[in-house]
Parts: sequence; C-alpha cells; structure tokens
Amino acid sequence: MTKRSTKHATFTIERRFAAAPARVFAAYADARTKARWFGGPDDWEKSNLKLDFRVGGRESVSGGPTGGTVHRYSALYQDIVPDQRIVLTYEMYLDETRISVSLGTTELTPDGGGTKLVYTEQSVFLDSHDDAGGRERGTGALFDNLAAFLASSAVDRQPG
Amino acid sequence: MTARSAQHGTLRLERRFAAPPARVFAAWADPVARAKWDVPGRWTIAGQTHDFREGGREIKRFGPPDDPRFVADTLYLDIVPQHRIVFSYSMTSRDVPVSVSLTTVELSPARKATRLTLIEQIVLLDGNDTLANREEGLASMLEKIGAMVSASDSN
Repeated sequence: MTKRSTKHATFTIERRFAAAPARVFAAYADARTKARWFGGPDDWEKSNLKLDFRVGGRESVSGGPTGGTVHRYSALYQDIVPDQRIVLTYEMYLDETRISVSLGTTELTPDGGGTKLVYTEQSVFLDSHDDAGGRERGTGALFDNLAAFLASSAVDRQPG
Repeated sequence: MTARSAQHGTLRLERRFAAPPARVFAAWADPVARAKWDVPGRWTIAGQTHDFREGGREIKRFGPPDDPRFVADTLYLDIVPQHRIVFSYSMTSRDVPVSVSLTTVELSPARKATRLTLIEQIVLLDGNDTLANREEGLASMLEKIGAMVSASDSN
C-alpha cells in the first residue's frame, strides 16, 4: 500500500520582460502561442496543448522523453483579469499517478516599457512524489522559455 | 477602477473528533451530512450541488440568510477515502472575485477518535477578504463537524 503523505510549500518567482503587459498576457491567452513556450524540454515528445482560456475553462498538455515517463498537466482557470492577473489550479501526473496539486497566481504590472511578472505557487505534493525545489527550478525554466519567446516575437514585430 | 491585489497565505487547523475517520470523512462525502455544516456561523446555504468524486465540480450559494451573495465553485482534485480530500474552490460575491483556495483535509485514526488537519492555501483577491476572517469561518465549520460526528456517535 502507498504510504500517504502531503507536503505543502510556497515559492515566488519574479521576472522582468522587455514587453508590455498586454503582450505577456497574450502569451498565456492563446493555445498556439502558449505552446511555443509552455512545456518540457525541446527533445520531449509532446501532446497538443489544449486551452480554454476563460474562468472555469480547462487546460491540458502532456509530454516526456521518448519511451519514458509521461508528465501530464491539467489546469482549471479560477480568475482572469486581462493584462493583469491569472489564477489557476493545476494537477501534475507522472504516467497515471497524481503527484501534486497547485494554486498558481500570475501577476503582471507595467515596469517602464516592460512588465514585471510575479508568479506565486502554493503546492501540495502528494505521497512524496516531488519536492518544491524541483518544481521551482522547472517553473523557472518555463519563464526562461517565455523570455526567449517574447524576445524572438519582438524581433518579428520590428518594422522593415 | 478596482485596485488589483493578491495576498497569499496558508491556514492550518487541527482538531480531534470523538468519532472514527469514516464518520468524519462522511461529513464531506454524504450530502445530507454536509448540508449540516458547510457554511460558517449563522449563514445559510441557499443552494448546493453535489459531485463528490475526483474531477467533480460543485456550486454552492451561501451567505447571510437575507443575502446569499457568495458563490463557491469547487473542484475535487484528490480523494483517498477515510484519509484525504484535496479540493480547490473559488469564491465570488455577486461575481466579484474574493479568493481562490487549495484545501487539504487529512484524517488519521487516534485510538477511537480522529485527528483532522485542514490546510488551506489561499490567495485573497483585491482586498475583498482577510486571513483572520477565513480562519474564523473554517473554525466555525470544524466546530459544527465536531458536534455532528460526536452526536451521531451514540447511534
């Protein structure tokens, strides 16, 4: 029998992006755009990201190394304020095992010509399947991807 | 324009109830039992749906008897019968965001009693509630559960 346990943890990540809040928000609001930066490492096999971006809407995506463990993400949008705030809860699975449930708050505020993003994650890790340090590192990597995506799409927008 | 804010916090409440874990678990799982406690103080439930299973969604309207202005929208995330319930819920007041919570209820046997630990991870939105108020509400509901499960102990 599985030994039942829970571990609660909170972490906060703060980033600055050279893009206005509306552009950062747009990177979250559309499935094809979000799929450009939200997911595991480049060499993973991934499912299509499904996104119903509205309060009460769901999101899901899964992926993993070829032939390896499948990481599955399933979210519910709890609160959305355009260009300012996104609150969601999400479950993470390794294959069929639920390893954690989290409450994630993303806050966007104008910062000069760019955006300050503050992400706060309040998590419950189930039955010792994960740890907060690993989750914080993985989430930080997603924001690296987001920064790179915003920088590359900014180049596309330059005139001439 | 509303001043936007998000205040994060974690509430932890521990109680010991004079009833076995199965009876305490039923306080959530059984709609009849839940109707007896799932609102703080003298507030009342104006309407509640039940879908107690992993992935189940529930809507509850509640508030003061003459003004049930609050809506809680719950999603059950992880359920281990007699041991654990993890759920999220958003709360709004006339469609204005109040909070989003991730709540863990853990039950463990303690002789003939049950030790309950409730941990609520919460984000309070736009200054529309306080941690102290939420803790008071949770304490009130746990008190009702305690009274309910110990009263039914003699059945």
